[in-house]
Amino acid sequence: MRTVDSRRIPRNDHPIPAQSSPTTPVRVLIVDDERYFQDVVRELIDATSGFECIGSACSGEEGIDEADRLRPDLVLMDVRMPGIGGMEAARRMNARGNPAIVVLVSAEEGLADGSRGGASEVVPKRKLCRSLLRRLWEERGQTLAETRS
Amino acid sequence: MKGAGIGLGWLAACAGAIALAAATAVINLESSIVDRPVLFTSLRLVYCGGLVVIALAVLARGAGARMAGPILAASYLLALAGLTAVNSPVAFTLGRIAVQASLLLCLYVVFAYPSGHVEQRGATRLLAGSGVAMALLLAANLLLSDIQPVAGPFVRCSGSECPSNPLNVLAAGHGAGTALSTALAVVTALTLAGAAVLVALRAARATPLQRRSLAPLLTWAVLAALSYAFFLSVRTSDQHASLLTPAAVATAAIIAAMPLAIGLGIARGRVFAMGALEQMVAALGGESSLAGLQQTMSRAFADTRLRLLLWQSSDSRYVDVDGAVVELVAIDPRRKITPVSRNGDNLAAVVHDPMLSEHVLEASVSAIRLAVDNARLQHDLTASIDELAASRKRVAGAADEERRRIEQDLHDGAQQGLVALRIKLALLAELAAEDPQSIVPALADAGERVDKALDHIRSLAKGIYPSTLRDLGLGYALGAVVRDLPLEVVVRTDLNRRFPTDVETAVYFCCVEALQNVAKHCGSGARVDLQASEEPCGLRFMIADCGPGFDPALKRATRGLTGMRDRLEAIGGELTIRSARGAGTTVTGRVPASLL
Repeated sequence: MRTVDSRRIPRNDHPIPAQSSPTTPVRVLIVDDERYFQDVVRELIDATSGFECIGSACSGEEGIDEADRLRPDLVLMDVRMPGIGGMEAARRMNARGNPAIVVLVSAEEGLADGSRGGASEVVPKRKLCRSLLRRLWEERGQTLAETRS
Repeated sequence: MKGAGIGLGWLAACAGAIALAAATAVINLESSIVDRPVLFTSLRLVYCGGLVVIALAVLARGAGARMAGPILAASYLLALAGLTAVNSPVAFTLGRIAVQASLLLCLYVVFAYPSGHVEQRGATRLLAGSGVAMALLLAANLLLSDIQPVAGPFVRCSGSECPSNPLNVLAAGHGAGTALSTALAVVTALTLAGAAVLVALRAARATPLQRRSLAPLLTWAVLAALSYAFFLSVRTSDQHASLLTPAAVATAAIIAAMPLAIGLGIARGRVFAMGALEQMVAALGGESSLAGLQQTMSRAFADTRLRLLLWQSSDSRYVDVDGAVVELVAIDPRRKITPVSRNGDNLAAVVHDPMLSEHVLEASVSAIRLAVDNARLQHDLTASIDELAASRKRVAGAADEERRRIEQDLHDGAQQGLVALRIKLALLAELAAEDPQSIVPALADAGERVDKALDHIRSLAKGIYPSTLRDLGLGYALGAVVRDLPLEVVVRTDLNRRFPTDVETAVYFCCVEALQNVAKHCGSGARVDLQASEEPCGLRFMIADCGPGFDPALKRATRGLTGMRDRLEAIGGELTIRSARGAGTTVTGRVPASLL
């Protein structure tokens, strides 16, 4: 089984989110149908300096609407949800020109790279931690910031 | 099939015909106006006696009055025709009329053989036309001429040699009498010739079996027509020619051979049918289907239109070997229908050539009964195999569905909870280094989350296979499962031992499914009776509710009900569901004692 390499350089070509800067916190939207998981990730984000949780959604469809409304910098989206699911939601966000960086999180291990749809990366849920959040933003957000500047 | 029997009335009639023939034979032997009395009297006796024998044979086959009546009547007329040997004007005249009438009646018998009614329209016209012509000519001859008309080969007197004509009222002269007499003879010859043609046409259109029976009659009709025509020509040309006597003897002998021709026809038909029956029995060895049996019988009896019809007691009608409905009234009336039954119950019917005797067909009945039973068994077996295949598919599908459900349950419940917990513990580990006190409430919460995950997994396992069922048996498991249901369940179980695992599993999950259906359709708090007991005949369970019920005839079996039935039938049990609108539903299951 192929493991996900979280440090791969993404292919996300979206323009830089307007709100991001070195001093303002990274605005994160959580999309997951499991309430407890949302609560835990919110705690994680709140405990990570430089990051702030701006909202949550319980489905891919709701996630797309919330992303359009809230214009997050980063979206942490579950793969397996009722309705269209995370991959299709990521693809649609991409298609709608949403600038947010979408990271798919999954309870399953070993999801193939080719199955990430419009997302930047696929990360196993159990590996979510503060350092991973920082690394995700630093690799993608920093790269985008450099491109912007 | 009806049995054969000859009533006393028929026997008396036959005896009467023989007696009359014998009496007129005595008169013939002593007659002075009959040439060669012994020979011609013998021929007349053979003719009469032969007809009586044929009548008895026909009655013995069960044909009844339709065929036997005309034959016996012809024998009486033939016997009366012997009065032409009496040297008395009245008796001779009576005999003369009887000669003509007996000829017509004998031809009627030829055309009506074997069914007893004339089927050819041409034959009806011939008989009617000839009858009218003969009657008119005979009447004219008797009324206008002082001499009797020229007789046939049996009576040798003619003209002034015969007794005078008592009915002569107008003296038309010899010439008119001769002409009328000749005309009558010609009509007779043409009638015989017409009969031969019609029998030939009938044989040409007949089935092989019918043709075999008709061949002797056809031969007789042709010979009779030819010999009479020859006799007539000899007689007309020169009454004293040396050929006259041989021609008369030959013609008389041929005409007298008519009963022999019919008898040969019957015998040939029977020989053919017996041979066909032998063929059929030999061919039936490997034949078990109705279609195959029909084909075998059709080939053996050379009856391409033979059909086997199966009786469907469910809707009281016949179907053919292909399953198409057949109305008996729509069958060709020229065909015969013979029913096949067992113990008074309709089983099948055979549509066949009427020439095929019931006795021969009766021998096929056993084969027909066997084929019908085989066809039914085959049908039931096919249905069972189809149902078994469908049931296996359903069971496999249900197992896959269950696996999917378990996976979904694990993913959505325990797995998600444990993954979230993993994230939380990693975060707490990091926070512990920064502020150890802050993590204490979080650790307590994490502990609760672990408990919840454990509960979820425990509940899932219970749904897959409860530990009470595994460890304590069916009685305890049923008592335990009702505690978790939002229903008022009155449990009465009398199960004092363990049963085979597959039986306990099947009964347990059937009961659980039934109880879940009650909760779904009757709502929380509904009252349910659950009974389970071991009886001499086996294990029995029942779940009865007072809910809305349903009409089983209108409502298709749901997956749940089908699944219950499949589960129970897979272990050899049976499930019964009784329900009616507004009268609740009762689910009853049984597992035979032999499986416990």
